[in-house]
Amino acid sequence: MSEGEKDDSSLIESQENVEQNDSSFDNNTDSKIEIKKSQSVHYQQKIDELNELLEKEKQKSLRLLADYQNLGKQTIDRINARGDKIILDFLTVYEDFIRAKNAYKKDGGNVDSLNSIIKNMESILDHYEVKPIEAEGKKLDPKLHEVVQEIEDNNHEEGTIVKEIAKGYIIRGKVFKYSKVCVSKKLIKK
Amino acid sequence: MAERIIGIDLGTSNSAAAIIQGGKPTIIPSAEGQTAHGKAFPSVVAFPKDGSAMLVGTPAVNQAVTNPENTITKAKRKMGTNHVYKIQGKEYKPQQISAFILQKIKKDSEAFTGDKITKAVITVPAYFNNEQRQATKDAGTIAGLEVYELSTSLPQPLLLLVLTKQRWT
Repeated sequence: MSEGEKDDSSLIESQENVEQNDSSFDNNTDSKIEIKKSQSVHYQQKIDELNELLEKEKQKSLRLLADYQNLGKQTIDRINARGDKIILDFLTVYEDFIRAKNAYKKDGGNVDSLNSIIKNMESILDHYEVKPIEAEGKKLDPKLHEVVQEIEDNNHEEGTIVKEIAKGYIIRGKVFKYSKVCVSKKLIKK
Repeated sequence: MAERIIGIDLGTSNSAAAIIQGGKPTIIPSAEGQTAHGKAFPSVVAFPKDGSAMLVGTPAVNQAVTNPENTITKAKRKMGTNHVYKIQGKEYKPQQISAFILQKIKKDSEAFTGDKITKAVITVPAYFNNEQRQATKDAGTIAGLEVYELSTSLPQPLLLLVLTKQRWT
């Protein structure tokens, strides 16, 4: 074999080797890409799952927070309702004291001690934002006053409160007890 | 947001409404607060003599002594009939009067929940005939409520149980 022929054959061999290497390289990269692809799909699935889980947990925490806030509101309402009931009972005693004071005063008795007790009671009512509804001399407001009787009276404009039978109260800006009143009615001449 | 449906007990003497809140039925208090009728309010409508705004519920009862001719009570008994209430030169059908009560319930419910209320389940007595049921539905429509269902108490046992139990406590 001449030198030239030897060179040719080695060149062909090396070319074959390169081709073989190329193909094996291609095969390797393809498989690697495949692996990467499957891995990315796997990771994407994982991310989706985690996102879904996160969303679920978010919703859950939102609902729990809402439940907690509702419970807070309900508790305040319940406490207020209980408090209101106690105040209502307290008001009957307070009104009894006022009636007793008026009776003693009428008989000429000393009402100083009763006055101080009533004053203390009023400060307690003030503390709990209980305010009496003004009635006598005012125009009837059905949102504050409950009419129990009409009195014929030409001295007042029709629908004016001429007598208060039971005091009404407002608590925290809402009517707690309507005041029971008598209103004027024009005298009908026969 | 899921649509909210309220349950209404449209009664002859008193009315009340409830809503499911946090999975539990809750009575919607009337704007006047808790009265002698509990969280329910009287089914009374009044048109004041001085021409001021119409009154529904406790304020209407409060002025009934001075204005009996313009105060309507127990309109439910006339539902489905041709009865007409003549008030201050205007004529009102019983379903219109019931609609005023339902409008108040709608307003109070919206204030209580903070959501717009458009659907309701209204209770009707089991003995109500078709005309009476239709009149109740019409009242709901006039009040701006889509009557999802007329209940004769069986389909909403929980709601009604609460409605009847909490009304007087």
